[in-house]
Amino acid sequence: MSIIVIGASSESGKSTVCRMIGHRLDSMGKDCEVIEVPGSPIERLIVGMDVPEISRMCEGVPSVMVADIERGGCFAAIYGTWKLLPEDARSNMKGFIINRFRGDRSILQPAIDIIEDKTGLRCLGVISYFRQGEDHLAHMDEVDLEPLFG
Amino acid sequence: MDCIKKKVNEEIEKGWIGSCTSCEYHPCHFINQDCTFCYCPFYPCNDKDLGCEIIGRHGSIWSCSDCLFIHRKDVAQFVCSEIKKHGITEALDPRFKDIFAEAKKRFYRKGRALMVVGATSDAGKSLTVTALCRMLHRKGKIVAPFKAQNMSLNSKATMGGCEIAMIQVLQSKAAGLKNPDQHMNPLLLKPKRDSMSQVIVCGVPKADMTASEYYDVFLPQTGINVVRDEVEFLKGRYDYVIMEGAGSPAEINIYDKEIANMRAAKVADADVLLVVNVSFGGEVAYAVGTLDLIPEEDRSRIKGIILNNASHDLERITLEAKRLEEITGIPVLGVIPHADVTLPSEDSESLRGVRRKGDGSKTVGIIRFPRIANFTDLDPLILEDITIVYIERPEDMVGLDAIVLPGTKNSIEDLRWLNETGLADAIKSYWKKVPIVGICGGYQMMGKAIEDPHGLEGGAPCHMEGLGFFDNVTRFEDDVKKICLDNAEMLVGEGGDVTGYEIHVGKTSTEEKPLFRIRKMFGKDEEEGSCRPDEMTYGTYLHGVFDKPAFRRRLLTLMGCDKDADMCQDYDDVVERSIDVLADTFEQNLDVERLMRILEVRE
Repeated sequence: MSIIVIGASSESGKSTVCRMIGHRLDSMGKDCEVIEVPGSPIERLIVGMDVPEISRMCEGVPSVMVADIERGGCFAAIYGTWKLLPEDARSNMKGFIINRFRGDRSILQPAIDIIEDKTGLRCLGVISYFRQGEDHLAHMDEVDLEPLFG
Repeated sequence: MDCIKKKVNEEIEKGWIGSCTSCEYHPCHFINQDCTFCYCPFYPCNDKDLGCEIIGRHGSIWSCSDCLFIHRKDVAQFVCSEIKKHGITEALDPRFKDIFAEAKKRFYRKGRALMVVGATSDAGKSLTVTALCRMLHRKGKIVAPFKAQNMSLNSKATMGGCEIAMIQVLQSKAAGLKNPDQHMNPLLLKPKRDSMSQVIVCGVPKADMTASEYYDVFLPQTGINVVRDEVEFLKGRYDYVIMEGAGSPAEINIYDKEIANMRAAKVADADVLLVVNVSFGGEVAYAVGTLDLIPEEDRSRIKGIILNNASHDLERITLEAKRLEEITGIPVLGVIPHADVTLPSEDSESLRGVRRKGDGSKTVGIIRFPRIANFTDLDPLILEDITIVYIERPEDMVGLDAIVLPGTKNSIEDLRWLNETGLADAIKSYWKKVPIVGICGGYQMMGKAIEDPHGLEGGAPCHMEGLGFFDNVTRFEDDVKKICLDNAEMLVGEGGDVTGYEIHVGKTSTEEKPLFRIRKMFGKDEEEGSCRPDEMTYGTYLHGVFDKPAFRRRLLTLMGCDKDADMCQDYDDVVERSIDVLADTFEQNLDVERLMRILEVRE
């Protein structure tokens, strides 16, 4: 099977998250290909350009969204991206992952609840900030992929 | 009062003179101000819109030092024509009361507020506000910048002895204002330790607070009223108040608590523009999501979107803009290309771990204190053939041609950090081999000791040994020294002018050779700083010490760049030109007519 990883902005750190998801799936014994959508797909989509990965999402390939919280506006990015996707692609989206978080997680929960409620997506993880070059595997526990197979 | 009367009589005789650029104090309020009535013929007007009673040395007096009304060209011209019409020749003529009433009726309007919010941090809010201030100033409007709440380690002293964020100082420069003041940034948070911030209210330190003390207690009880009062104050004096939001306005987990964005817009009754930085990607998603997550009653304030910092695919982004308008029903006022400008650094830079800046052939190591402050001091170095490297560990200290110890929010704790990390020894190994410059807190550390008998910095009383480059002792007493502008002369090398400002606790007693002589407008000149030219060691309290060419040139010469040293530009001029380039870029790419309609029309 395949999983498509789409970023809510082009600098969401989704390549690293894709590697983490890959490792995680391996450790779960799942034979699963992780497909990263390059760049900023929603913008290409709305000006009528072809985004093959989004077409595949519409055809039923499950997907996960990654959003960078370091810059702020992360919930807006998640909600805006979700809203602008075609209905079919949305219905095959499993959840979102918040990347590059610093601070106390509990303050995020109210926002996560609102987004889950508005979109029906699940929050699959909040990955804490780590520097480039640092081992991303140390943060594997911060992502929960079980809901992908639920 | 007799003196004022005499001055007003002279003004009446002279008639309308417009802007007096030859005056040594010009412009005392704003560029293009009308100087016909340097002394107001209406004084004391006792009009609460323009001034207030204050308690002076001799009891209650009328204070209107912030009033700009008489310095408006239309007002000054009207008053002059009325004086002529009525044949008034004397100050205190009772007819001035009627003239004042008529002038106020004709020309006094409360200003309009416009707020710029960003979909993310670094969306370009502050630059947009800067550009808008300059654009409106060019149109002859009287404009003030405003940011309800700023989290910043880069602050500046005002003429009134208050402390505000550096960025509002820059924006007020763009607005052509002479003296930025505390009204423009009523809440300033200076991060101290992980979850603590020093909260500065209307320019004066109030207390150290945790996030929850600030959001749950201070803001609802006090903060929101402060913001309301200060915006009202500015609206009463300026044509436009251009407000800047903070972070994203759609942080739904704290939406009801924070007051830096839509709440501030609401209390100011401001229309809002949303700026999105295109270079991050996802700009349409950010814009749509931001608008959707803001509750309807606040969303209706948002009157335009600006797509900022576009460096490629301009054609596609223009298409996106069109689609974005269709989706949101809100006009995109412009797609602004990336402008290459030199402006003071943003706080986020340091917080986000920028390690190097510039690409010059000489390397200046900046000690990146955990509590680094006022690092805008270093910005002018980028104008030269210099690379700045931020140093956090001894290993980072490779191939340095000079070292700067910048300011810090806490000299004691950061000196301790310097010792613990081994950086103190690493710096000592460079001593006398390369130039070392200490500014403010960094200067304090270069002495032989820092004494904190009341535990002001360290929490508990303490005495710490410094780096020992100077024979100085710094002692912390409970008084903050704030000086808005020092004009000084450099006493080493080729000499030359230097300007700077001071914000510090602690006094340094020194027997060392002084680095600068501060020229005092009143009273005796003062010696400032320390230097050992033979050992290439320099220390000063003056923030902004590199802004004028003299001291920067000194550093370049010591690093062996004699040729470049001759070409040093004044950083203020570079910034001034950058503001113009920025405003030009906005003017050329923004639907200015539409923007002006938003600014004029109340729907």
